[in-house]
This record gives sequence, C-alpha cells and structure tokens, in this order.
Amino acid sequence: MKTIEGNWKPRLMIFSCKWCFPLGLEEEKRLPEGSSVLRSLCSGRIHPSFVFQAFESGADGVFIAACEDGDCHYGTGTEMLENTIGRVDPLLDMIGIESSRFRVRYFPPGKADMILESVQEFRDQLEATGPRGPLSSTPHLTEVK
Amino acid sequence: MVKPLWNSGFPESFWQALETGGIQMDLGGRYGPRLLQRIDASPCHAACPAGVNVKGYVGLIADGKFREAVELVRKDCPLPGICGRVCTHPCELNCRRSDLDDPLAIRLLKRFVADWELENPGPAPARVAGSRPEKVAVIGAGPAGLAAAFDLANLGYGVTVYESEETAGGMLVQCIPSFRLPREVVAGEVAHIESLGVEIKTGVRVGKDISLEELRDQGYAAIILTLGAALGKKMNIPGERENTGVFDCLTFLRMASKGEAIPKGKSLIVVGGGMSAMDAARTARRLGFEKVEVVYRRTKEEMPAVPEEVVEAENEGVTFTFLAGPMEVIGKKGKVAGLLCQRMELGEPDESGRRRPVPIKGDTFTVKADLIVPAISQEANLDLLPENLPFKKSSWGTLEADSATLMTDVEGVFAAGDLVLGPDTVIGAIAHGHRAAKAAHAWLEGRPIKDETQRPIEVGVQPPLPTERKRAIQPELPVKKRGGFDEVELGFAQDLAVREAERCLRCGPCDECQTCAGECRYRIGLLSFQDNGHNVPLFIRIPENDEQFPLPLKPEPVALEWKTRREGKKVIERLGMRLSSLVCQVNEKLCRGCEDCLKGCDYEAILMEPRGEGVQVARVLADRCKGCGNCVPLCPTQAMVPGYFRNDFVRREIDALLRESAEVKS
Repeated sequence: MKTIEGNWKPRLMIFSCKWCFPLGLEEEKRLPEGSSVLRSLCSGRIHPSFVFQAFESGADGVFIAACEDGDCHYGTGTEMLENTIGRVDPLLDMIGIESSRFRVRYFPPGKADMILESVQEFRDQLEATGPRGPLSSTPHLTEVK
Repeated sequence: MVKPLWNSGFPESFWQALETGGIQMDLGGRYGPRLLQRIDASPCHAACPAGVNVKGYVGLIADGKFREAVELVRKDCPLPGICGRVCTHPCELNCRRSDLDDPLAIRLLKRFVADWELENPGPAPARVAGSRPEKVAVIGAGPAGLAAAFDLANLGYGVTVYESEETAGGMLVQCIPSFRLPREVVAGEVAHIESLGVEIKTGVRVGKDISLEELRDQGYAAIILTLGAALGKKMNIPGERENTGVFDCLTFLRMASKGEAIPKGKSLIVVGGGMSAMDAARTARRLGFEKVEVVYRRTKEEMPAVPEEVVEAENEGVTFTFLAGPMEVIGKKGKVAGLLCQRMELGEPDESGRRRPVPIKGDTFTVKADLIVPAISQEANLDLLPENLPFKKSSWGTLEADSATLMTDVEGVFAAGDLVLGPDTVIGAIAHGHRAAKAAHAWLEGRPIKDETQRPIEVGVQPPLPTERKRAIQPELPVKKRGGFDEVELGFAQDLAVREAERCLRCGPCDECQTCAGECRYRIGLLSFQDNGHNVPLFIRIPENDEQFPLPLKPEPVALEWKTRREGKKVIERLGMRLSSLVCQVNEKLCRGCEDCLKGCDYEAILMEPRGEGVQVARVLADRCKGCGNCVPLCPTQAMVPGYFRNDFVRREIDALLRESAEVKS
C-alpha cells in the first residue's frame, strides 16, 4: 500500500498471548507504524486460519509473540502453537507467500524491549524485501471426479 | 457443520480444511459425510507406541471386513496374533468408551482378526525383499528385530535375521509361557514374515559363530542389533548368592519353557509385580508348586502387570503379599528356606506417578519358601557385543544409540528394542524396530532422517451408535482344566467380535480405515495417501447439495466478541455482528449420541434427540445453556462447539483490524 508520501510501508499483523506481551505497547504507540495487534489469552489459541486471514486481509508479514517453552501460563500453550506452525508453514507456499513473511518468536514474560526489538527487526526485513505479490486465490484445490 | 460467519476470498473449503485438518466429502450410503483428516488421532490410536490404527481396524471388524482389518493392523504391527495376546494394550486404557461403561476389548479384537486370518489364509503376500541390491542383517529375532526385518523386506532390501536360539521369537518364545502365547501363533507370524523373503538363520550366535566384520564382508550394508534385555536382575540382598534355589525370573521361565528340570519344592516366592512376575507365578502353579506367593513392595493398584493377568493369577491360586520388600534370603544348609521381608507403607509419589514404598522400621516378617524367583527387572547383556568395536554403554546399562538415527557409535550399525530402551513392552519393541528400519533405510539412501510420523489424510464414516451394550467377555479355559500349558484365553467368536467392535464410539472425525486408498469403494474418486509435495492434505470436492447429508442442518446463531468484554460491544457494532446468547452448539454430523456431554452440563441444558432407530444426537437448549463450555472437552468426537470465540469470529476481527489500519494511513 502507498502512504501519503507515496512510500510503501509494510503492514504487520502481530498475534500474541496476553502473558508475554505488555499491554502498554500498543496504547503507548511504541510499536512500529502499520502494525496491528491481536492478543489472545494464550498463544496456543492462535489458529492456522488466523495467519491466513491476516495475509488475505492485506498483511505483509505475520509475527507471533509467544511465551518460551516452560513459561506458558497454562502449561501446554507453546506446544500447541508449535503444532499450529507445523500446519501453517507448508501451506504458505501454496497461497504464494514466502515463508520469511511469517515469524514466530518466543519471549520471557514482560520483556517489552526484547519484543519491540524483534518486531522492529522483522519490520525492517519486510521493508527490505518489499511488498508481497498477490495471493493465489484458489489454494490448489484438487477436484476429484 | 458450523456455518461460516462471512465469506472471504479463499474458497470456504480452504478454511474448512484448516479448521478440521482435512476436508469434507460425502461417501454416500450409510457412511454419509465425513471429514478427510490428516491430524489428531483418536485416543486409542494416539496411545499406541507403534501407532497401530486402532479405530480403523475396529471399524472394519464392525463392518465384517476382517481381511482389511488384519492388513491394516499389519501395516504398523507385523505381529497381530502376538500383540492380540500379550500386549499391555495402552489403547484400552485410553478408550473413551470407559467414560460411558467399559472400554472396548481392543486387544481381543486384534487377536480375533489374527486368528481369523489363520483359519482363512489370504493370497500369499508379494515377495518384495531382494528387489534392491543392498542387504541388511538383523541380529536377534525378537519383536524389535522381526518388526525391523518386516519393514526392510517391504522396502525391498534383502534381509537376514540371525538368532542364537533354535526358534525365532526371542522373549516371546523363550520366556512368555505358552498358556498365554501358544508357540504355533509365534511360528505362524514368523512364517508370514519369512514369506516376504526374509531369511531367518536360527542357532547362529553373532560374535561367536560369525562376527560383525564377517557380516560386513558378506555384503550386509547395514546391521541392526536387537539383542533385547535378556538378563534377569539380581536382588542384591544377603543370602542370595550363598543359597541354591534363587532363580531370576527369566532363567526360571526359560527353563520351564524348554522343559528343563526345575528343583522340586512345595512353595515358591515371586518377588515383583510386573507381567514377568505374573508369568512366573502362574507357571510355578502349573509346575506343581502348591503355594505360590507374590511379594510386592507396593499395593495392588500400583502393580505394573495388567489387571486381567493379576485376576487370572488369583484364579489359579496364586496368593499375594503386598507392601513387602525383600531383605534377606534365609538359607538352611545352603538351600533356600525363606525370605525375610521388610514391611512397607506408601509415601510420596515418585517420577512414575506411583507412590513410593517406604520401609516401616523394625517391622519384618519371614515367608517360607523352597524357591525364590526375583522378577524385579531385566537388563541387556552387553557382554555379547564385540569388544574390538567402540560401542558405548549408557549409565542405564543399555547400549547407547543416537536418539534420532538409532545409529550406534559404529558406522552402519543400528540398535533398537530393549537393548537400547531397557526392558519395555512387546509393542514398544515393535515400535522401536520400525524406527530402526526407517533409520537404516534413510541412511542407506543417504538421506537425513526426518520425523516420518506424519500421518496421512484419511476418510472416515459415521454409522449410528448401537444401543448400550456391555463389554463382551471371552471364553476362557476353566480353572480346573488349567493343569497344563494350554492357552487360557480362548478369544472371541466372530459374532461376538463384531458386536464388540460395534461398541466403538469412533472418537475423532475419521475412521482412518484407509480403505479409500486406491480405488474408493464408493467410486467417489481416487484418493491418494501420498504426500502431494506440499505436505498438505489433498483436497476433495465438497458435495454442493446439502440434501445429500442425512441430517438436516440447523441455522447457526451468530455470537459474540473476541477482545475483552469491555470492548466487546464496540467490536460487535463495528463488525456488524448480530449478538445472541453464548450457547454451545452441536455439530450433528459428528455427534455420536454417546451422552458424554450430559455429564459435564450443570444446567441440564443438553437434550438427547432421537433420530431414528438407535440413533440420537445432542441438542443444546439455548435458554438454559450458560455457555460455560464444560461439555466441549468431554465430547469424544469434537461435535460440541463453543458458541463464542469461534475461529471465524476471530478471523473477521483480524480482517477488520488490518483494513482499519489501511484506512488510517491512506
């Protein structure tokens, strides 16, 4: 997309769990411009379809911030998220998205600076890569007669 | 199916595939619509170490397709008749039917199809072994070695199994008594593996008759060691070595099974509470010991032996002393006269989750006995390994092998089974044998070993739940007739097996019977289980006409918010959602009418609605349901869907968030 100056800025969708992602980050506008945050109770709730919805709705990159293994408030959330990622990765290719546009990082609780740094780095990388191409609208539906 | 909230650019089938891990198709007939699914095994399937497709073969038995059932078992477990008799059946322990009444008799169902196949032999399997130039040697013809040989033969390798004993089977024939596992059954299954082209050389001890280097020179590209854990552990208490009459469990069982002379006596003590202990005790009764006492340090609940074994032992006159640990073997003139025991009580749970036995100081007692059989544990005999090769011993007394590749420190030599795991179950050894075969195959092809546990897409069916029925009981040899070593369990007759299989709740959306591989029996199309390069499910066309589905669809209420409650109303307004009460919903196509959800509902908000003979589905009464979601995890078939925070609500929220941020900028 084009901004007023005509410079393209990446649009970033951030999913996170409420335990590792400090609430202040978005309200204090400390996150990079063009990022939207959706916080769930636990990153285990992040379903593969959320990632695809984000790309379909125009995101240039999807970032998932999750608790480190062992830090999950509910115990198994990180494990469930890993299962989710396992399902997302192979499908990205099918809809025409480079796997570098999807990133998952794990953080200890309440480390805002670490998250900001990581998000900024991801955004810089997206900016360097440039806008993404169109999605393949039909993800390889094989019809069987 | 829960209807989507709104339509986005991708076809709905794509989202559905993500929701369910597969996609929906109609198989027609009594099978109706099901989901093609590639993840989430049913509890029984997930519980099996070897990944035997339990629900699949139980469903096929219920359909009377015994040949397909036994072939499905054999894909993951080449020894169905053996597992049908001696498996510790973790599948049954995880059966969701036990929430309703009793778990399915899964082990006996497997035994039934294996026996059925013996009576109705099918066409001889294709001999594929030897179609590749490479040869593999397997050392040890126990369950792990046989499973590895079976897999490698199916992959086309020429396989030779070396066994030091005269008969193949390892522990299965040497130690498991024949009243539990008749030798003909083992011979039959070994013969089946041989018919694939596997050569089994018995009476050859590798390391003595032939060395590993000689095997290499003979052209074996890879060697798999499955020597097992064939040494019984000593108790290491005073008097054990000084007095004659102490035989470790494996020696005792081996002597009994070979018919060697065992010192006569009246009473015998077995120390330990595992499967081998039960085998030893029941064998001792058959050998003529009048008083057989099992001494175990914990109580009956903590015994590792499966309950049916304990019951049979009791039926046969074995007595038990619980909460007693061996302290000293009491001798008389160099012969065993009794066992001094320490009284125990149960303390805190240990790592295994069982409560730890703690000695009660000063409280000891003596049990008189002529023979003592410690059945504490087993260990691998690593002395059998050649000394000139750099094999590494782990601190557990097992052979060290790479956890991913199962390769030992000697290039091209793999190890599997109890030799690496320490004493484990038959099915655990089989599972490990499969892994070793995969690892050797990957190594021979020069590929890295990846996790090949990826499950295929499958088609499932959903026949009606039969009326409530108790677990079937198999006929057994009456206790009076049990003097000899004839098999005690007699297995199910055909009609009983089918009736038992019909009790299966078919947890999870798919039967996983895999009969759709190859030509679909309903001629819907050709389904492939092959990876299509993207490691994703193969998508199948969904029938457009809802009338093809046997059950009518109900309109779905649209419910609530995603973010916090504070913001909930705002979100709803912004997204133009219609608000209704927070109710759970039933996906009627998946509901099996098992009534499990009723147990979780504190508000009596679930009603069972009859739908024809023997069929019922759950219905949620919207005015009573509080949306607590307690029923959701109870549903074995994932038919209960919470009414809030549904994935498509969240997706809509994501869509709104990203579009808003685009508007702000432009």
